[in-house]
Amino acid sequence: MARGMDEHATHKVRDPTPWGHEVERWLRSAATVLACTLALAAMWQSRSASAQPAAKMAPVSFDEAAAMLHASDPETVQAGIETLGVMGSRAAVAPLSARIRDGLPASLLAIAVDTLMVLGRPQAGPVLFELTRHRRPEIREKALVAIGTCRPRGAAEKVARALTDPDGAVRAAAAQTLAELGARDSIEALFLAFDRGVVGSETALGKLLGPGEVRRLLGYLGKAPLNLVGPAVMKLLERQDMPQAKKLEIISALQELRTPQARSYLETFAASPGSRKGSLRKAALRAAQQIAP
Amino acid sequence: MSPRSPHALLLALVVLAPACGDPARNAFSVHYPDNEPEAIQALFQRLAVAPAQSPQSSAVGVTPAPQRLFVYDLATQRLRWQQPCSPRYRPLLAGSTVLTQEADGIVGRDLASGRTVFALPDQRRTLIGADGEGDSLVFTLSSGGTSRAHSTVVAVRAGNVAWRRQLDAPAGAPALVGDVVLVPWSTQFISALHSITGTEFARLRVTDDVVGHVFRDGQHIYAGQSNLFRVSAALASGLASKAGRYTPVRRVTLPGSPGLLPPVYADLESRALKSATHRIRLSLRPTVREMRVHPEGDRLYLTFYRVALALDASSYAVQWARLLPRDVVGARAVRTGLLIADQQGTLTLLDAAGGEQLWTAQAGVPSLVTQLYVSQPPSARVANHAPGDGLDAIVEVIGDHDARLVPVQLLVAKGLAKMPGPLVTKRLIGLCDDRLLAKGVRGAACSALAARKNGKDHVLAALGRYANYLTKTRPPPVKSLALAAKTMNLGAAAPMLIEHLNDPATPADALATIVTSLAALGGPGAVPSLTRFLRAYHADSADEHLVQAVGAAAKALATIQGEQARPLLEKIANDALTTPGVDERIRLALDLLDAGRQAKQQREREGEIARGDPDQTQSLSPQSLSPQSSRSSDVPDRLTPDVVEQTLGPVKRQMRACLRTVDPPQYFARLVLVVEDGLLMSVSVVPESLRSCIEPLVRAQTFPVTRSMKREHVTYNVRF
Repeated sequence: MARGMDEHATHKVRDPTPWGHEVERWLRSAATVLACTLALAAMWQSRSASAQPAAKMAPVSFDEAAAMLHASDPETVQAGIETLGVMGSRAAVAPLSARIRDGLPASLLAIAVDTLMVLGRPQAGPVLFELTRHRRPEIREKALVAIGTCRPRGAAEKVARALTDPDGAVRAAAAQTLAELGARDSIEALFLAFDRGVVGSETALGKLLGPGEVRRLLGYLGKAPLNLVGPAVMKLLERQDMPQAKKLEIISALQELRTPQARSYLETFAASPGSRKGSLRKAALRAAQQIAP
Repeated sequence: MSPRSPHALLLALVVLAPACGDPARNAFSVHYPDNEPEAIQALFQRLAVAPAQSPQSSAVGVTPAPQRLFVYDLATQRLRWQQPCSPRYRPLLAGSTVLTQEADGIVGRDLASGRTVFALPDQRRTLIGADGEGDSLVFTLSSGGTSRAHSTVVAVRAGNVAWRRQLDAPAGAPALVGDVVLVPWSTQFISALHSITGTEFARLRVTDDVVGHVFRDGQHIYAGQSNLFRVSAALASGLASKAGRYTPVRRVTLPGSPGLLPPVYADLESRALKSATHRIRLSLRPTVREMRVHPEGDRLYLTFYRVALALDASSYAVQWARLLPRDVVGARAVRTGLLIADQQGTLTLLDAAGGEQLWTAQAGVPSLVTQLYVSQPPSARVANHAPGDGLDAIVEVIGDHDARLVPVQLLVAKGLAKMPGPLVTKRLIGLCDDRLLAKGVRGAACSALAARKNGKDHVLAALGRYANYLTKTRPPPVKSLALAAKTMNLGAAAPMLIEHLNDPATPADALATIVTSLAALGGPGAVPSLTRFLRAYHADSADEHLVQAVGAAAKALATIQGEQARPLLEKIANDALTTPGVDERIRLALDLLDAGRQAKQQREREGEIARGDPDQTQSLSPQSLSPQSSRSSDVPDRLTPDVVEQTLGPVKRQMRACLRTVDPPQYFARLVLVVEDGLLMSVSVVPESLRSCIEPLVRAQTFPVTRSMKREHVTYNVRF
């Protein structure tokens, strides 16, 4: 089980909230969509105000916004993209996808991808899949995040392929998106990614592993650095769908490490709402106390 | 007058002095006549009866600090002796005496025992060369290689200096042949002296070559410096060219530029023990065939640090190459091959035909420089060449990461490129893929790969590899493989090229080549991928490579689809978001279509049948816009004027016609073309007024890929 360290040394791991997997995913998606919508609306508002400070802007129709996509100046194109995004209609996916395929400068392409993410429609799948192979890593990363929001059919396979990407941030986005998609079929790929040090793969494993696969992850304890395995282990402990027996097995495995770091993990779990079952809290505390500080 | 009176004595001296010897005939006198027929005849009569040589088979060398002089007997394979010594230059073996130049002068030691036989004080001059037979030897000392040098020729017999002769000129390396001493000097003379008296009795003068060495090998005597010729009666003509001269290949510069023989009229410090010249040398065994000098087996050997290789004597084509574990510090061509000595004291005999190791021995002492003297090569086993051994050895040489070997690796790589067979292609792929190789060597391997005509399976196998972070797989050398696929007309490679075109791990500088190759191989099947690529990046071409690639895609679509590509190209050309630079290339692609359409209309007007006029058909018909695959039988080394003329030949008439289309008409236009890897990067036309007419014609042609890995600038003139 070779373990790469480079990616973890250079890439910041997102720290999820200690809520259930599905609630966490929904809240994150909603927050992202809300943030992007507000940002788009603000930009549109600002542009409208600066363009005609005295006059009142007439509302733009869907067809007009779609037509703006083919304007000759980038500002109008951008306005068209944002307007379609604010409208939020499923019908906006087609003209946006077509415009993306017609080719856009990098900045507009990024906005277009963000807009597709805001729309959150699975119909955006085909063009997003194509963008996971774009030459710009930032576009590939955005496309993967958008896929996690749009959840198109066949996404897991396309996203799993991105685990092989040459860019570290893209691989991390792929791992996170696989977790968001609940792509259990990608567990083998994620274990390989974990071995190769792909950032976010440990968290994804923590979210996706079934009870029968926990022991395989526990096999890394004592062989891989705990700061890499630990987040996955904590994720398993916090999951509501993980049987208590398995959680006790995890607690026991941490205790056997007998390291200060393992004690810290046990104490953190004991203090978290995830251990609200008294027996789990007691087991974690007892295990922590068995380890010298 | 009494016979004993001083006057009588003086009178006797005056009368008799001329009879005692003409001052003009003193050795090395500038007044001595040369190429005198009678003297020359007498010389060769004496040389003809000279007894055969009885050289010793010995290795004489100097160890690193603390320095010791050693002698290893090749016949008995044992170290005869070694003793402390501080020579300034390499030791020489003359007869049964080992000569060294040390701080105080020249020291001669007995070959068998190491006992000092004589010592000649001289701190001013350098030991140039020596030869001997038994305990008789002759050597030369010189203060330099210029015309102002002062030299001495010294003859020693049984440990005693028999005679010395001074000359105000640089002297070369002499030979002792029977009782004749042959001394080359002042670059053009060979003086023959009696070995007993030191009296010069004949002189040869060579007017068409430089003579720095005279030496005997078997029954023949040779002379020369950069070339090699026979010391024969024919030399009395004064022309080395009439003496069966062998001249090495001049058009190929060997790494390190070693000469046939060590320089004697040059910087003498190059003879210092630690000089790199001892590790870079050319070796040959001269023979005479049909009165002409030839290297035996028509083969030369080059030793270059840790590499030994055999070269064809007339072309310098690499016959075989061997990578050795240590630097070669001594080499001698022998009848059966090449005898080498390395810095650890290992002696090895390499087979002449294939470089296989036939024999080896350990001298037991390390060495800075080893001089090898061989009468009979060591008895060795017969070579047993297994198929593929030679190729493996050549690849091993090229693939080594020793930075000192780059010059010879380039030479060997050039030789490898000329070898046929799919296995060679496979090896070239491996070398091109080795990122640890020196840039120039890797570039040579990639260039050679691009020009390969066989090995399709290996090219396909290599193209089938894609970058994968999880499996630690790097992308293959796609650019060279794409070119190779195009050269081979490998249609099966098209799907893989599409995959690489769409792979973000593909280096940007390979994209244009992939596009061009894909267009040539995929034909209409490549249109969807090329269209997708063009649309995706025409407004987002991040760097020059991507701009070129997008431009190549536009040109490819114009070539493949003809007028069907116009709507897309016009749309992109008119798109204000198109990246600057890309729009120019799109317009050139449209110009291609325009030129094609005009040519077609012209032909229809003139009633020409496109197929009946090959020149017209090739120039502007849609077929002529198809990229011409680089299927020429020979890949040129670079874009020569002939190559450019051949490439632009089909449109030459049209370009001339352009001269008359401007007002005022022109009689001359100068084009400056920038080409890299067969891609035309830019075209400038002077005068500018002709650009719109001439540039599309030039861009319609496909330039060949050359072996040069650099961007090439060529100038081409169009005259009315």
